[in-house]
Amino acid sequence: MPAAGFVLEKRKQGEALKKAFEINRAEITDMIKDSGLKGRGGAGFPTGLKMYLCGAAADTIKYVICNADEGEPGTFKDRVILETVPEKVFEGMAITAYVIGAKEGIIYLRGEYEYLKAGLENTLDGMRKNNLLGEKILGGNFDFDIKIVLGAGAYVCGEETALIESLEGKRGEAKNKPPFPVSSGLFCHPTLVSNVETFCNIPHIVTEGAQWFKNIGSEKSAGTKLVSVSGDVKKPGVYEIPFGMKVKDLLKLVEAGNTKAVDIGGASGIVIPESQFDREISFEDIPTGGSVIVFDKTRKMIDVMENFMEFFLDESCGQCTPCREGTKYFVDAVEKIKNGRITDQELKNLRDISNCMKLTSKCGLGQSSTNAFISILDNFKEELLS
Amino acid sequence: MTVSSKISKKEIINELDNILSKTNLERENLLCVLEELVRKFGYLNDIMAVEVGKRFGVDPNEIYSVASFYAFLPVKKSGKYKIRICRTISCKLKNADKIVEAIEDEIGIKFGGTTKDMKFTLERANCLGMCDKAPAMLINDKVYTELTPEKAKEIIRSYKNK
Repeated sequence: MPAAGFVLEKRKQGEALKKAFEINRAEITDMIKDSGLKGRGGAGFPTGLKMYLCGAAADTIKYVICNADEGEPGTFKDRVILETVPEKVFEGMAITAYVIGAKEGIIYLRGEYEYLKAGLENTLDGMRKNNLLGEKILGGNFDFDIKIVLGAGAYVCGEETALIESLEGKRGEAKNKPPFPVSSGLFCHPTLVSNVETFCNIPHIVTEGAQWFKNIGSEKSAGTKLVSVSGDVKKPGVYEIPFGMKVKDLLKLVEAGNTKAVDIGGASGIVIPESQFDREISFEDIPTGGSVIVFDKTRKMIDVMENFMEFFLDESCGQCTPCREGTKYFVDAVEKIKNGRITDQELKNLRDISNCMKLTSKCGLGQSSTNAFISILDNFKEELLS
Repeated sequence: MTVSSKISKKEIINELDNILSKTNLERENLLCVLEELVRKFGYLNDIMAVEVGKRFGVDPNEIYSVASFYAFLPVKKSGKYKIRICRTISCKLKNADKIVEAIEDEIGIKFGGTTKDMKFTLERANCLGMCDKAPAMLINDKVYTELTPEKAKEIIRSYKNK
């Protein structure tokens, strides 16, 4: 692991929270803004701006939600964070709550991770005992507590408006934005939703400062990224890399050999061939929520395509037409490619449909569901259509 | 957890009373109540939808609509132990299909099926977040990783006597 690693390091509990209490709220917001921290779930929205917007919303009730519905194929870094340093995530949530003026926090834990719940409850209890959660935290005037809510096996609930619907006891269907959750979220109150890894970064920025954070990573992508590496590598696992690391350097780190292709960003990401391995993992080049899947030269790209397209067909919630119909269309297209029966006109139509889905699907699921298909088609055309 | 082919209304009402003694009737707790019912009975049926609906003041169709959205809230008869094998590419690369075959062989049912004694249901699951220890499966809330066909069969056998 490179020297930049800090996200998975243990640190003194409560130190960042204590420091946050000594600074005024606006200053912390500015600090997070200046640090350049962006959401680590994949979308990369500036966290400081989110804090500012949610803090500025006029309401006496606000919520902080930690999105632990990690469902992107090939992603397991949030699991590792929650197994290793859950207290930092909770402290990050508490600092955020203090800044925006929330009293209630919720961690939405995917149903598949139910076995983590007991350990997380223990951590929460320990923090309550140490007065880092609950009433009058650290003897001040700030009350905040966190509860854990279990998801029930729906990928789309990782989308923030769908997640909120699910928390309200409804079908997890995404909603049109605006309004954004920062102005009208859970029970129509301002709500800040962020990824596990994002919250985990906050205590570090508060204690070490914005400049320290900015010094790590690339120009437009400050800090580090946890990537979950799986597939044809000798050392699969979670790696913390500074933003801007080249794909080929990551491959060296995880001891990949004979590599043909790398999927970055999971089923909703893109698949690149060897000729693009000097591209960077960053918001300015290839962003990722954390998934990196490596394929060696024995693998067929059509199998990857098929797996991902079936995934989206399965997980599309079905409420909006482009996604519901489009995902089916792409599964059928894979079948046609497999049988060597796809025509040039059909391929052209598929690109149009893909664009239409990007433009008109209600949420990120439909919008990104064809990324893998199109990138495999572009990058491995000869293999696919031979 | 008791799973039988027929669950009596009385059993359901008793369990619901039990669950609701710890939970209030705010709509936000609906999923959690349904999850508890699945934990107890293995799946949700019409009687449960009606009874839960009555308590929450929500139409039973709405209860069904919510439940049917979520993979972990089965609305058709389902076994006591739900075996969910990851179908995602990282597990596939590590021969997840062989695990499926081994388990199908061990319990004598195909994907999507439930054993006659209502003990096991075999399902595909999307990424379980265990890609570094592929292939992986869940049995109810327990996760099993780095499976081999032999290891998978052994795990299933250990559940047969539970």
